[in-house]
Amino acid sequence: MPFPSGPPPDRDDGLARSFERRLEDVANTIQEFAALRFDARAPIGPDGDIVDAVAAGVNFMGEELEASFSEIERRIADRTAKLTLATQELGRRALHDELTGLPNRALFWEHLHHRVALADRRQTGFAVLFVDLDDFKAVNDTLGHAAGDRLLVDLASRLRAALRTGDTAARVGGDEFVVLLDDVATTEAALVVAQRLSEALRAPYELGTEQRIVMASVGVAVGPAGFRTADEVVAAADAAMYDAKRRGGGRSVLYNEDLHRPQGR
Amino acid sequence: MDHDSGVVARPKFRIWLRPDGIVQLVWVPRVEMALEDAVAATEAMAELTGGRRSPLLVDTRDIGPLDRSARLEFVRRGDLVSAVALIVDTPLSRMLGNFFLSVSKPMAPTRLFQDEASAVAWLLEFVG
Repeated sequence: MPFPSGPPPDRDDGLARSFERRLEDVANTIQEFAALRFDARAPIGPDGDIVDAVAAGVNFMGEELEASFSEIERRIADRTAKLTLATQELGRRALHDELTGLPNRALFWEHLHHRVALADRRQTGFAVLFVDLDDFKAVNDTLGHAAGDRLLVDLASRLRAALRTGDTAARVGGDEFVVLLDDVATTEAALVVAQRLSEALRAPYELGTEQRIVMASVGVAVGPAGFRTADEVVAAADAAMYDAKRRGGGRSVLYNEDLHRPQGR
Repeated sequence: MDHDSGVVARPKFRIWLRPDGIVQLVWVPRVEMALEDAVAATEAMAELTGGRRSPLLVDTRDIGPLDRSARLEFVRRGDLVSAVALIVDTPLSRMLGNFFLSVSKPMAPTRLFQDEASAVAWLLEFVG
């Protein structure tokens, strides 16, 4: 339905000025909306005339703008929260092993680099343990990869339980794990931890209807003495681990510069 | 409800079921209406009709401002009406009617009329 335009022609100057003031009120309300102050409202008089209709229309539009603005803000906040969670999850996945939840190679190296860099400022030393399961392939071959995965998950839990806060256990290969003992007073203390880990890993694994005992060869390298870089420490622990395997597995061996030659890994 | 007259009277409106099957709603002139008023009106209509869809005649000639939440409530309770006729005469009431039609988009057939007779004639087509 069309609207009649302009004020009635028989109004005097006083009423025309009132008409102008009322339109100014509407114009001011529109300016408030432009400044995102949507709670502004143009006054509506008792006559229901054309200015009142314009004021009501402007007020209606302000309400719709306010509702749309609030909805957009809500959606932005919601999407931002989801994006933040997704970014955090991506970051977590980039630094953790998907199967076991342990830190992966990248995160372990980050921790080890940091610890090596702090060597001169710390009173105590650190140690790296290289843990390689003995005959893990047999588990996969005889019981299937699902059983093998369950074993690895269980092993990761045992590693976490055996370590202190500040230590890091990581999965760096199929059945290879490395452990950083952040605070080690003596070489003997590192070997005690290695022995305790070996025993924990030796307990039977429940794999469906079967129980299996799988042992591990553990190489131990104690720093900082003799090691300049993180790579050198891990290579030393790896060399000691291979010696443990050569000796029949299921044991811990301390790196000895005279006896062991680090493998090029 | 006044059981003698069949009129439901509330502080801001009166509503009753006419003998022709049309529900008629009249608001107190120029009062501001909010969500609670819309809820009261739709509940009163449901009480009058037993929840059956019925045509609704609303005299908006002296109506006051109706906020967004109230408009949305009327749309939400569109299940109560088979059609709605709004009687308008002032620019303000025409603005309200046009805004309701174009922005709130009621589901039931809704039209604006300048007099009660033509509104009733149209609504009678929707008496069930």
